[in-house]
Amino acid sequence: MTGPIRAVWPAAAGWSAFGALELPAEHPLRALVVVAFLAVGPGYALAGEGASVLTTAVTSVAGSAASCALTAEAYLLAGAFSAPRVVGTLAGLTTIAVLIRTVVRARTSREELR
Amino acid sequence: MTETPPRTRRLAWVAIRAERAAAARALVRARGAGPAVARTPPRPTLTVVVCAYTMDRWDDLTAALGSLRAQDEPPAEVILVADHCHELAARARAVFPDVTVLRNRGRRGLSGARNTGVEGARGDIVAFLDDDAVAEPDWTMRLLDGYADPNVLGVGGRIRPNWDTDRPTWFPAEFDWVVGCTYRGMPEQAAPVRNLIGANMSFRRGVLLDVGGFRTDLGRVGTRPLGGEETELCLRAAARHRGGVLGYEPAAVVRHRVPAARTTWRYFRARCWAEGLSKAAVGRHAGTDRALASERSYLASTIPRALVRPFAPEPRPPTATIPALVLGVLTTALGYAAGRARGLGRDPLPTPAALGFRAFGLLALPVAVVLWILAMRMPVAVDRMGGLGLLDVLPALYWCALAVLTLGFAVSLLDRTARSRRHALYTGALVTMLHATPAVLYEHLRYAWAWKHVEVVDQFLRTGRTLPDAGELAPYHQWPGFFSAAATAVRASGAPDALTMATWSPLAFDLLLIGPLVLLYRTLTRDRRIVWAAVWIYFATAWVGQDYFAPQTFAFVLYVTILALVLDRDRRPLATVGLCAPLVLAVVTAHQLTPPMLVVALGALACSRVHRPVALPLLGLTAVAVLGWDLTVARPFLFEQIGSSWAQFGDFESNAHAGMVNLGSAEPGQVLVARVDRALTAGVALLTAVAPIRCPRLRRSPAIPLVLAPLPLLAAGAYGGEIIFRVYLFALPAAAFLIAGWLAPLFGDRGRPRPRAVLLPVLFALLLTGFVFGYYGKERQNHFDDGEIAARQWLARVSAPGDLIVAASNNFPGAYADYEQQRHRWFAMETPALREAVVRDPVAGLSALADEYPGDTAYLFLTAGQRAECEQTGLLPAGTLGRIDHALSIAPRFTLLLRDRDAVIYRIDPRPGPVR
Repeated sequence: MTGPIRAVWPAAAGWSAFGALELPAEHPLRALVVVAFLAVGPGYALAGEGASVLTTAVTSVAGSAASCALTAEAYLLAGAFSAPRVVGTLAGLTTIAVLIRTVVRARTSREELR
Repeated sequence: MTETPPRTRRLAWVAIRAERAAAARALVRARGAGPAVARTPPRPTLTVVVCAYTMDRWDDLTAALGSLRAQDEPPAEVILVADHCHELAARARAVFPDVTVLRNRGRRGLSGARNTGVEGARGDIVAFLDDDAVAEPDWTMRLLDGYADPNVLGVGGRIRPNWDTDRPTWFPAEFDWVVGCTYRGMPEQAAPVRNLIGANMSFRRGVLLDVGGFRTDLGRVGTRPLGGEETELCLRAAARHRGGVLGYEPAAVVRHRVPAARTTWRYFRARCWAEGLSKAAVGRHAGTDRALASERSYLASTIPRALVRPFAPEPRPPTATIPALVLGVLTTALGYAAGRARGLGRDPLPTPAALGFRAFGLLALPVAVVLWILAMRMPVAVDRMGGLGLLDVLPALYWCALAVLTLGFAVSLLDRTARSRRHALYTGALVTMLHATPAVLYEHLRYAWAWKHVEVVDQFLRTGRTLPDAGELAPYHQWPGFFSAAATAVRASGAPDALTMATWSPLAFDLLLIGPLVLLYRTLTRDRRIVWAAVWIYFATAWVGQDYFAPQTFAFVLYVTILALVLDRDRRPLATVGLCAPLVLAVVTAHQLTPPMLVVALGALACSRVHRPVALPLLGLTAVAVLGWDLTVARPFLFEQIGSSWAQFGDFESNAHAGMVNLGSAEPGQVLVARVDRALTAGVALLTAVAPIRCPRLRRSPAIPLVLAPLPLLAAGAYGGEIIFRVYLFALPAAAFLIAGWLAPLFGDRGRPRPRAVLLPVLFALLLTGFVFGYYGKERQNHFDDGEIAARQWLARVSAPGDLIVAASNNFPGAYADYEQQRHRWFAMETPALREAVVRDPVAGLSALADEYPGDTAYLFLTAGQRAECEQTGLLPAGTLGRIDHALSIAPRFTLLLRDRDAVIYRIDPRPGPVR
């Protein structure tokens, strides 16, 4: 069900958000891209598609909020908090999660085909 | 029910088979010498699909699979589809290595499971065997024999009842379809039929794929005895393949188990009724003429014969079957009529009253939304709020909107045709009306604690790190999860501060909470009306206001999400633990109280065998994470708190009462608000307690341990006077479910709502009334005017880093702005001695306070918000702040810097001369 493009978009959104930090603060596109990624991107990459649209939405939002909180507080505790660091780390983690998911899915479908 | 085909067609089938067999023989003769085997078409391969949905029939399933192993001609492949039952799939994989186990990833129900089996099958022919049926050894051979003719689309066989108890004497053989078996009146020899029966049928795989599988909106789900999906598929297959035939081969026999529960009158009636409904639904999809062709011949020939047979010469069935024959026919006909009337048929004709009822359920929502928008456009004097907060000033139109919405939602719950989408829109509208109203009406962020949290985010953005000595803000620096996420969102989105986010956060968090709540309730019931009633009840009773911009809100949404995932038995345990792990860590690092709540809830769930595989590892993870965090990052704060916590430990009563408003000294309006709060809380507790007593099926629900789990936390400490409210908050999701489950019979399962259903809107209205008192009643102290904010900004400009800010309480915007740069004292909130000293002699008391910081300039800042809090909660006697202002205005060391309606600022000059 999950095509390769759909699996990749959280990572793409992450790097777009990272890039959007270069836009001026008041630019509406910056808020849009950043909020969209922080709200669902990491969680979707982490949890994948659920049994229903609602499950996917809930796990994506909750997973994203948790990832964002954990990443940002690690930087805060280290005294090195900054938005590009947090968003960049999240984009990187999202990319890794997407890659792992894609590899695992490819292997599973190969096994199912036998 | 399967058709007895017209005689001509039966003959045609026999003729076709004879003709083809003769042709094959002729071909063999003509070719003479060649080996006959090489010329016969290759035998098709067979996949047998068995669908199962419950562990309760494990023994039956084992017998069914065993009978497949014992076939004379073993199938090439056996597929077991577990219909949304992870436990079954896992066990079957371990126990049956020769069986391919698939999980139904489509819609729950037999149709979805069969479609999953078809998708996974590799044989040319796909046969279906019920999980409670056993095949005779020659079953597969007989079925495959039927496919010699390429025009045959599918072949079904005879299903004999295998009674657990004896066959009831009243049970007519003509009604064996009630227990899923071949019935008297079906052909005794191989014959073409209109449709096959699910317990024993097979199709060419290509035919099934061609027609797109079974319809998932028909068919059995769990024990709901609806059917008709195989009839509908057979009709579609025949329509698509002109000239195609479905064959019935009575020699292919399976024995279908009939448990004692299916030999009762009750089941007989229910199944006949459901068959009528199914016929109506099939009629809608396939057309009445085709859907009912065989029923007409059944009624015209089989039933009349059955009625006269008891009076025929021996052997004859007992006359006791006559009532069942009559009742069965009538019930099925009534079921069909009801199915048509309910909209399962093609042309439903609801009564005008039903139409009006339905229309109200549809229209109340937009009407309520329009009324609310109009109310929000009216001038509302929020600065004139009195003792009842927003209740004093909200326009009548607002209450009309809420009333219409409540009534419309209750009517929608009673309207069985209303879908989840409508309930979701109603709930969304309720949450918006309740939680967007202050954000729309107020010019500034409401609630001093929300301001405080915005200022903490500012502090993190300013310093970029957690501070080792953060004073009053220490807990936020030792549990920074929520603030770090908010700081990231603020800085990354380019917003100047978190004010806008905080203003809309009650609405956003409450809307977000709908999702996890629905998921949670869906794991507890399949009835969507109970799900949405529970969500509504939750929002109508969550008056404690823990939905503002705060770590508790953030952690609570994650907490409900974790519970919903843990209770979802369709998920693999390991995957759930993996997904929940980051959520648990975020909760542990974001908030003090939620992790213990999570520990007790997971502990309660781990007591149940079915939830243990997920709850136990998560419980371990949470416990280890809490311990690790508390011993490292949060250690300074915890060690400081240990003394007071130990004193409060085990003192249930005083902890529970610590947060209660002192009714003796509070304002009269607040006394009323507090009484209504308490009545609502007690009412919810009472309804929750009575629900499992009155409704036995709720006693086994996991909601019971979830309701009880937070209670022990009452013993753990007062949590700043908040513990009783937090326990209420954490028990509320499960409590709302129990109440909704108890109310479910009011919805009316069949036909029109009962008169008692009027209780539903009445109860909803009562709960909402309690809610608005609890949530809106304290708004006078939570609302801040322009003047107050302007005065705080002015104070920020005149004061310097290192100065002391003195205020009665911290209930004003900016109490924690630039917090680490100045010092702060809240004299009414500290020791009673200090409070009394200031009340007795403001000049001496405040001078002494300022003298504790020799050489520094102090500022006294009094605001309308502080006055409202002190008076409403009884913190200071009424009028105290006015008296203090008056006394200071003539005192020598106090210089008045600003006085307006909302604020007063004095500078307290340092004491002249050396300090000894």
